[in-house]
Amino acid sequence: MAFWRKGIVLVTCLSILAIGLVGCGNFRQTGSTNSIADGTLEPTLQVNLYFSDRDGYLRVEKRDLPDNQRIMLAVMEELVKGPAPGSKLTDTIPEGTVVHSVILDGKVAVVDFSEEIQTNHWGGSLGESITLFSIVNTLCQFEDVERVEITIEGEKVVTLAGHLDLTQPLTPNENLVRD
Amino acid sequence: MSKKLLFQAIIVCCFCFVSMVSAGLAIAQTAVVKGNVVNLRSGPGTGYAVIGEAKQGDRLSVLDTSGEWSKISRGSLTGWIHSPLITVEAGNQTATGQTAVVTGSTVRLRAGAGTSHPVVGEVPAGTRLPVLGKSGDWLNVLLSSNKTAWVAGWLVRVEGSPAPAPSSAAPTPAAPSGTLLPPVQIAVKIAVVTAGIVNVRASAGVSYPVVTQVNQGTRLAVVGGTNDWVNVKLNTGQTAWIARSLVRLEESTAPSTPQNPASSPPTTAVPSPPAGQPGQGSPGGAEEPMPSGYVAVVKASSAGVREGPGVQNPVMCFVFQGERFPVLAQKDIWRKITLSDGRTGWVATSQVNIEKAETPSRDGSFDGSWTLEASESGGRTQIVIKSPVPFEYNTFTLSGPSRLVIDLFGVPNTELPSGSTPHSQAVSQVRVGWQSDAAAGRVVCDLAQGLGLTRHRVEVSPDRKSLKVELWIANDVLDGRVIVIDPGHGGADPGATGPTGYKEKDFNLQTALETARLLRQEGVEVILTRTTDIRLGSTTAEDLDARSRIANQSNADLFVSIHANANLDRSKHGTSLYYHSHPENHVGCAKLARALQASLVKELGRKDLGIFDRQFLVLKNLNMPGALVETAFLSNHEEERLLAQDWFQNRTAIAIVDGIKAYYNN
Ligand SMILES: [Zn+2]
Repeated sequence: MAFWRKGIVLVTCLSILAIGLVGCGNFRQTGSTNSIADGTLEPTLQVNLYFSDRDGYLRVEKRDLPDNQRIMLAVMEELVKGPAPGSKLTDTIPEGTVVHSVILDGKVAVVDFSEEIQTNHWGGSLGESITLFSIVNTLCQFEDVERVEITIEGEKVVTLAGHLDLTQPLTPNENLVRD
Repeated sequence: MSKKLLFQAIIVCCFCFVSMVSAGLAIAQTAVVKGNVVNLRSGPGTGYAVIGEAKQGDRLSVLDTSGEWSKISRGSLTGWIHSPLITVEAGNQTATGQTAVVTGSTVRLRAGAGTSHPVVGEVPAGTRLPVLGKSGDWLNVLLSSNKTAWVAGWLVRVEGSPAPAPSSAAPTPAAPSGTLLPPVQIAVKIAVVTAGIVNVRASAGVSYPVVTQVNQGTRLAVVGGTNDWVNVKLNTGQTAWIARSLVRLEESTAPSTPQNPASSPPTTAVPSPPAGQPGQGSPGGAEEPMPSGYVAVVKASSAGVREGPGVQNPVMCFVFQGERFPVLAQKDIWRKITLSDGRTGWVATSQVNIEKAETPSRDGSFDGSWTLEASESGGRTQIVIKSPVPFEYNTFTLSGPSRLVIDLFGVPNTELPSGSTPHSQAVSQVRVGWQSDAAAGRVVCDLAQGLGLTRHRVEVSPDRKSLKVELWIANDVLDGRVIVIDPGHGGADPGATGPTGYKEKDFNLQTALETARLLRQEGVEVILTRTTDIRLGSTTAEDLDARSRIANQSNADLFVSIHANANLDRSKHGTSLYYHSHPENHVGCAKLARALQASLVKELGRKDLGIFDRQFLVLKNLNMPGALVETAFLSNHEEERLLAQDWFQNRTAIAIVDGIKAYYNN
């Protein structure tokens, strides 16, 4: 049940830019486009965002994002924004949190958040797990990412809320996900 | 984004640093001691004074050779050793000629290269450690104890060449030193308590729990320290921390070579006490001299030493179980002893055993062999093993037939003590042998009954020359166990907070105290990681590290951490259990989690959310099975109300005790 695996990531490559399809072997065309100010159209990518359901499990919400170099940062910014209006899913990232950066270090994505991710966190082993694995599972949908390291205000952290070990980069957790 | 640039800059710096270190590797040799206990001398020959000793397996750096002798260094001690007694290897544990100077305020030492390895110690800023090698950006360093450890490369500054004398660049720390000092006569540091009654704590800081208290004059072997705290060895064999300002550090001879051996019978009745010593009140009758070569071995857990023979004289200091002092004189029930600082005082015979002292021979071999005595009292079999030289031990159990094996490393390979047939409740026979491949003595206790019911406890004397093994048939599965109960969070870290403001740290503490009370009623030795509303250290990282360290240092059988859960959506409720599957003890952890979960669900009647294997920091470095209880959801209105009530906390405690019993019964 590797629903989050890279191969299944649904992605848009714009039909007008046929040449763009060559480099997007993993991505499925959906035909949607984004208008850019100068009248050209930018390719978009359909990504999976992992939010929490009422029962404390992660569920996927799909969202189209501009397919460019800042896609990993954009996907984290979308995760921070929370589920779409009217969704039955709930936030995973505490209020006020800002994503500072996502840097790829080999196969490890290093995401840096503002301190609110810790100071505004609601705690609990489940609460902490949901926050962390919503981040990790979301970033690991990209082929280049195998593990995720979380830093806060540029500093390495040992734990977010006192339970999970953050001294080693995390790998995705499938057991927390429901279809 | 500027943070991105900074991060990349840091990575680049790390690479530069690592390549700097690897470029400086120079080969030195390591000597491994072959002989049992080998003398270190001040020069290359038996005509030179003995300045210390090395035990079998000790690793020493070779500095020089002369004829059949090798000049070696160990920590701050340099000396000469007879080359046939060592094996020289040019292996991986070689000095690089570089010194790591600690730049971070207090830096952890770890067993391996990475933060996933257990913490084995801490060093303060300015500490200088010889670099043996590197792995990634971690450095393998040599400690003054002659052990090696790993330190993060980014927390130290590496200095180029070996310094023959202490550098003036950094303050000289109390603990490990990377520089080689001229030969000194003394190898062991002793902390002498200078204040009245002093707390001894689980770690270096006043926020850590008090593990015991010691009185003025108590002498404790120093095993390490920071600028402000001294790591000392207690007479239980555990190590703990004491504030640097409350002790005086002294150097003492190695425990096997008493400073004041009574070498000839005193010609006068009483040797005059050292200057500054208060006179002894000995009103009626004179004291009689004792013949030479007798030592008083403290048999009480602690004994007061008085200025004169009688309870009317003030207590000058305390001595502890297993400590040995030369006896000078006697009067009635009192014996006059020489303390290791040269002072004399009086102890009651009820507190000590008077024994004939062994004297070391010239070559570091010792007269006398090791002994074994088995006795039975109060349903418990006691086996006491004594050796003229310090030794290390290892115990393990075997089944079919059930037996407890005690291996003794470092006892003299002389005539073996005879076995014993105590016909006790727990032990049918005690057998003694010699393991020539391991060069170890072996004591095998054949257990009278099934292994599951027999318990044992091992206690080693502070001088490591005596080992007491107690075996008994337990009343039930919990009797005699050592269990750590860990109330999660605390102090500045409240954990989760409920909708009406009840805090997780308060539930955790109240429930842990209740659990401890119930377990103690069952004969369990309970160790609580905190008993008040505190965080163990200034950061959560330090706090979590201290908790597992307390458990590992107490050699506990089990670790149970008590928490309450939380979720952003308040509808979530129920009980869950977390464990961390170690490669070595995952079976025990999962079994413990399963037993606790079943018991909690049955007793509390909350929804069964199951058990989860997750990398939890507090469980990660444990040497024993551990699990973390998430009792119920503090974020849920109904469960917050439950969690805050005494009866629910009591039921939780009962469920945890039942769960532990079930764990042992299956
Ligand atoms: Zn907690």
